[in-house]
Amino acid sequence: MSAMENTRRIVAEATRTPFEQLSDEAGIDTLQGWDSIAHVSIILAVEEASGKQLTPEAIVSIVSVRTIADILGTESEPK
Amino acid sequence: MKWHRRRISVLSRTLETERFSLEVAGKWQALKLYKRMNEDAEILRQLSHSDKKAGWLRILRKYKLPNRRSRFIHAIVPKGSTLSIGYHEIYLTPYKSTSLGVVILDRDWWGRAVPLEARKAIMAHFVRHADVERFTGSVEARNFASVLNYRKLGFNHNGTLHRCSFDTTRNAAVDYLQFELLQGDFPAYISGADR
Repeated sequence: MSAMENTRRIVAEATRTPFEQLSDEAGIDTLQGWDSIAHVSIILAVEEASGKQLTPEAIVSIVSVRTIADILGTESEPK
Repeated sequence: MKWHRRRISVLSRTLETERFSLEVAGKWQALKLYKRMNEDAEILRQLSHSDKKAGWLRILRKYKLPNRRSRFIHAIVPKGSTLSIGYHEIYLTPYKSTSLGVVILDRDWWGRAVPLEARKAIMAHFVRHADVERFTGSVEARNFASVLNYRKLGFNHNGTLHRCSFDTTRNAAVDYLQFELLQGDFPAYISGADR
């Protein structure tokens, strides 16, 4: 599963948005279901997917599907 | 008179939002709100990284009481109710700057965008009547809900204080995120407010 697909699955589940309706550009200002409770679920799911605790800078950067995909994409890159 | 010590009577006015009355608390009401916070172990842990309740003297030392000049506490009261569900703090600091804080005590209101609604009204009011040009806030990095609120309000992340505090309940160092919103970046909820 690609980082973007994984991200969309996480955000769709947390915000109760149908997966197929969730655009790559969706974010905290455009997606109605992205409230504080959804945000907590999203960050915990991202940490679970990446297998480690996010840094403060990564936490504050999470404002859209794309920023999460960037984090998960970076995490899955071969070192 | 220093900018942040002026008495501006309109700042003591109750503000109305769609769902809440934001009542400016006096010292006694503020103490009662602090006491409720102090008796809630979960909230206390989030705010002070300790389960240990503070005594009255420590509350007085640690939490600044409002003076309606440079320190304001707004009790958040749902319309049709007389009980406050939490409070919002705004402290004026030199020059034309403020620091913000909010605590929602009533769990039934968690996840219902209370800080956003209250803070938007308070910020617009203080820009309009106190000529505030800069808002700042600081929040523990793992307080995800508060981090989201700052981002939704348009604040910029302007720094991180790494390992600047210690959580005695988890026995771990704690990071804090610093946020700032400058006049040039004021979103429509402030700049579009009736001036």
